[in-house]
Formats: sequence, C-alpha cells, structure tokens
Amino acid sequence: MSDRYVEIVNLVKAYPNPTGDAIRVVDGFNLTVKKGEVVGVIGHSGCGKSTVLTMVAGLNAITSGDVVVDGKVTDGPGPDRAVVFQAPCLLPWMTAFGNVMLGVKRVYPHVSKAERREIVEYYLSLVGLADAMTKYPREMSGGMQQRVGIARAIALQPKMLLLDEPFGRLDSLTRMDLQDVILGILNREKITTMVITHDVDEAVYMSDRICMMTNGPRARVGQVLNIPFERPRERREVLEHELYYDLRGCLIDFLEKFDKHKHPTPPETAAAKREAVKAAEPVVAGSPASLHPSFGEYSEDDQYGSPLTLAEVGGGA
Amino acid sequence: MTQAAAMTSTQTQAMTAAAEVWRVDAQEQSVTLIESVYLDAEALRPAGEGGGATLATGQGLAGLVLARRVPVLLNEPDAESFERVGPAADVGVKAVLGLPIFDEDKLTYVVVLMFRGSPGMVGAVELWAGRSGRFELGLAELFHSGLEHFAKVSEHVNFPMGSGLPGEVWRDARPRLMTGLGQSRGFLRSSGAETAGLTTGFGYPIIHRNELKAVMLWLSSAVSPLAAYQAVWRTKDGTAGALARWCDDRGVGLAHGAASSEAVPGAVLKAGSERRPVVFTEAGAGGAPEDAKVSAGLALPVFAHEKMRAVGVLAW
Repeated sequence: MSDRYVEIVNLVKAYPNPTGDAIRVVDGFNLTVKKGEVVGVIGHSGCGKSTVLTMVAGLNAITSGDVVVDGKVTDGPGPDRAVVFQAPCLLPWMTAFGNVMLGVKRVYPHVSKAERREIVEYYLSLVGLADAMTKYPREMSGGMQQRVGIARAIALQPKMLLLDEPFGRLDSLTRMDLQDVILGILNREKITTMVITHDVDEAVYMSDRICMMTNGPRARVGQVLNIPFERPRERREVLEHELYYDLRGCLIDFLEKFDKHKHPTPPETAAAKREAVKAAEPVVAGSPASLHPSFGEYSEDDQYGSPLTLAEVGGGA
Repeated sequence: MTQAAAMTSTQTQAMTAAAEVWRVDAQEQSVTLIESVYLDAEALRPAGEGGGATLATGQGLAGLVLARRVPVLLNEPDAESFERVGPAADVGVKAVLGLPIFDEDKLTYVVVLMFRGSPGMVGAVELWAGRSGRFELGLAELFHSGLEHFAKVSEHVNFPMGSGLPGEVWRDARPRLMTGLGQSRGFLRSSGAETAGLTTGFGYPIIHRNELKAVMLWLSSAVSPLAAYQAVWRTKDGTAGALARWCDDRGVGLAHGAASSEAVPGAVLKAGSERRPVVFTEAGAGGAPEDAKVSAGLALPVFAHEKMRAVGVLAW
C-alpha cells in the first residue's frame, strides 16, 4: 500500500472572466493524505476550502490537476468519496432508516435485503440513533439530522470521507458531542478523511494534520501542521497537552497573517510589487529602514524549467 | 552613533565560528581542505592545511557528508562524527554543519560551517527535507540557541513548494533572503520569529541535478547574527558574467529596482566561474558595504538542471 493514499496534485479551479484572464480561485493546491489519516483544512471565509472539497468529491469540475484516490484518478463523483455537508439534506418523506438505505442500496446491490438492513441499522447505531430509526427529519433535532447524514455517508464504506463544516449549524454542546461521534467512528473504521472547518479548536482536536490555506483568489496550501496527539483522543487530555496552545497559536498566527482586513492583498504584478516596496520603504543603504524591507513574498518572474523533485529522508512526518 | 546602536554593536556576537571548503577527489573517495576562515577560533584550524588536511569517506564531518551525500547537521557532535571535538568545545562551538555541493552528477565540494551557542545568543540553523510519502518539506535537523519555543512549534510545521521560506527556496531553486521576519507575510512563522527576536532568514537549496536534497535556513537575530552581511546574486543564463545582485540584507539589488550594471565582486565571480564554493578573506570580495564591517565570508553557488542558478553570500 502506497503511503500516498490520496494525492491532490496541482488542483486548479478557474472561472471565466469576460473582461480579462480567467480568475483562478484555487491555484495549485497540493496535498498528500495517508490511509486512515484525518486532515483538517482551515482558512478564511471565501478562500476556497469548499471549492477544493467539492472538486475532490467530484461535484465541481476541475480546471486542471488531478485527484488520485487509492491509485486511481477520479473522474466525477462516486461512492468511494462520501460527503457530509453543513446541512444534512435529508429527504423529508423518508425516515432516518430510509435516508441511509438509499445509498446502501446503490453501493450493495448484490447483497440480500436482510444484509442491507443490518448495514443500515449498524451505522445508525454507530451514530447513536438506534432508537430513532423510524423518525422523520421533521421529528429530529439538527444534531440528530446531522447524525443521519454522517451515518448515510459512512454506510457507503467510502475510501474517503469529506466533511464540509459538518457542525457549522449546531450549538456548541451538540457540536462537541458529534465531534466525538465522528472521531469514534474514524478510530474504528480508519476512513481517510478531509474535514473543512473554521474552528481552530475543532481542527486541532479532530485532525492528524491541518492544512492551512492562503487567501483566494489563487489560494493554495500555505502550511501544514502535524498534530502529534495519539488516537483515540480524550478531549480533556488534548486540552491539557503541553503543545496544545502552541499548535493552536500557530494556526491563529497563520490566519491573522492572511486576514484581509489587517493585511490588504499586495499588488499583482512584479513591477507594481517592486514599486510598492520602494514607495513604502525608501532604500538608503545602511539606514535603519533599509534593514527591514520585506521582499520575501515577492517572486521573480523567470522560470528555470520543470520544478525540482524532492528527495525523501527519514520516516513519516 | 546612538546609545542604542552602540549597545547593539558592542553586544553583537556572530554565531558562526568557522567556514571551510573541502574539495572532493575525482574518485569521490576523499576530501581535502582547500580554504577556510576561523572567526576568533584559530584553534579549529586542522593540522595539515596547506599540505592538505585530507579525510577519507566516512571520516570526520566532511567525510561523513561525502559518504552520505546529504547535508549533515550535528548538535553537540562526538569525536566519532567530528574530528575536532576538543578545540570546538574550547571556542564554544555547539553545532557543525556539512553541506554537499553538487555540480551536475558529481559531488564536487563539501562546505563545513561551525556555530557557537550560548544563553545570550539567539539564532537557528535548520535543515528542511522531504519526508516519506509527502510532497512537503519538514524540519529534519535543527540547531538553535535561545529559541526553545520557536523550535518546539517548528518541528510540527511542513511547507509545500512555494510556501514559507523553505518552500520558496524549493520553488526558485535559488538561495532566498528575507528580512524583517517578524512582519514578513512570506515568513509563515513570523509571529514566533518576532517574539524570539529573529530578524533575517537566508535559505539555501541543496540540489543534485533536478532533485532537491534539502533546504538550509540560517535564521539570525540582531544580537547574534549568523552572518553580518547576506546577499543573493542571480544569473539568468547560467554564466558568471551575467551574475547580478538580486538582493542583500540592506535592501540593495534588482529586487528593489537597482541598476544591473554593478560590477560583480571577486568572490562571487570566482564562485560562479570556477563553479565552486569560495571562502574569501578580503572585506570587499563579497560585495558587502563598508559599514557591514565584514572581513571574511563564503560565496556559495547553486546549480540546477546543469546550470548555475545563483551565488549566495554569507559574510562575517
């Protein structure tokens, strides 16, 4: 089994622009996920997190780049990638059982009716709904509906689970409850998972790695943080871990750095960038101001050819 | 000079103690010391220089780099891996770094750098390398002084190509310099850098043909800089004659709209034309301004895709 179970390679999403070049919302998103790993994706609103997730799910056309799952390049949606959205989107005329059975029928067409029933009951029990299988969505709270959505996704036994802010509409207690439900399932089922979230604490608690996205347009992976906490996790132990606040602080620092309100986007062209630097900080060799020009973020225009491949050393990060 | 400036100047202490260039023989079986500079640390000079201190594959730090063909950064080295442990301890050396310099297929030179560390010093030398199963750079080895918190978090951070200083060095296949680390948007650990007092970062790629072996970072503070002057010279056509100062830590160079007609200083030209690292001991050979008050330095060329890409300068 390759270490690289899911590979997202140079993913680009561009939209046509009638007045100029296409607008690249996501530009060169690269991420490698190992089997069974939980990767959190965090970034400012509108940066393109959900765009990436829907492209990985096959629900949003990819402009360029590839998504490879278990050695196969994906092409459109499929039951190997299950999605849980912020809104559970249950069919209102079906019970919890019926909503989960819909997907199960599609994925397990050759098993007996009794076996399909067992599968549905098993996954509804996993999310704590053993006693609510016959309830309709209107009879369930938001948290219960989201549990049905989670059961529906996991019952497909996907190779990859995609969670798009799955707790965004829930109160904090329900949210914590469902986080533990999902972590319990992931510990048991070892499903490779990508979870989009705005919540720094949620990202640290749930993820093995956290992918921090830069602001759009032209969003990409800015930095990846390894979360060294063992699984299974206990919330109290995580909160009391000596690294917890350092890791949390690292995420917050990153988000603050890309806060559009605090740091307006720099000018686009290289010439404009240089002009902006010159205007902001007149360069006089030896003067105190000249010691602090921050030109690190400005790239040179020329290209030297194909990118360097990467030698590998050591074990897993 | 203001009082604050005077205090800074009297308290400044370079963390770098020595730089050496070792030439690899044609059979890649041994290395011979050809150039060196010792900064208030003459005791580090090995016996046999001039006559040619020579180490076999696997012997001493330079020999170890020859054997492994990757950068080697050793904290508190022992006698087995570093042949001058005694003198190094006497002058306060806490870490040694061996850098392989490749030109096309061959390992041609090994550069050895030695670093001091003490409670009053703040700085870091980081080795970022690819990890199994990832297309990212992670922190493989680290020497730091006075940066416990910064180092603790850095161990958990990874950079894809083009992100952060290591990722930019990887993308550009060239050395890269960042100043004002505490405020820089390009330096993604800027908050930690600001708290720790880090001001300048110099990134240098170790490249073998078209493969990135590692990225070295030198992270300096104002009180104990790893180098008193740092610069990057770039060439677009791979020739030494086309080298032009891209940037330096004073804000001078093409990155800031300076003219490209500037003469290429001797050590930079030599590093480019002879395709090798050069230790220099004349103040102006690295292109540093007079007020940098440097007396020696190291010019480090970078080759990728069979062409020279740039020359980085670290001067003391």
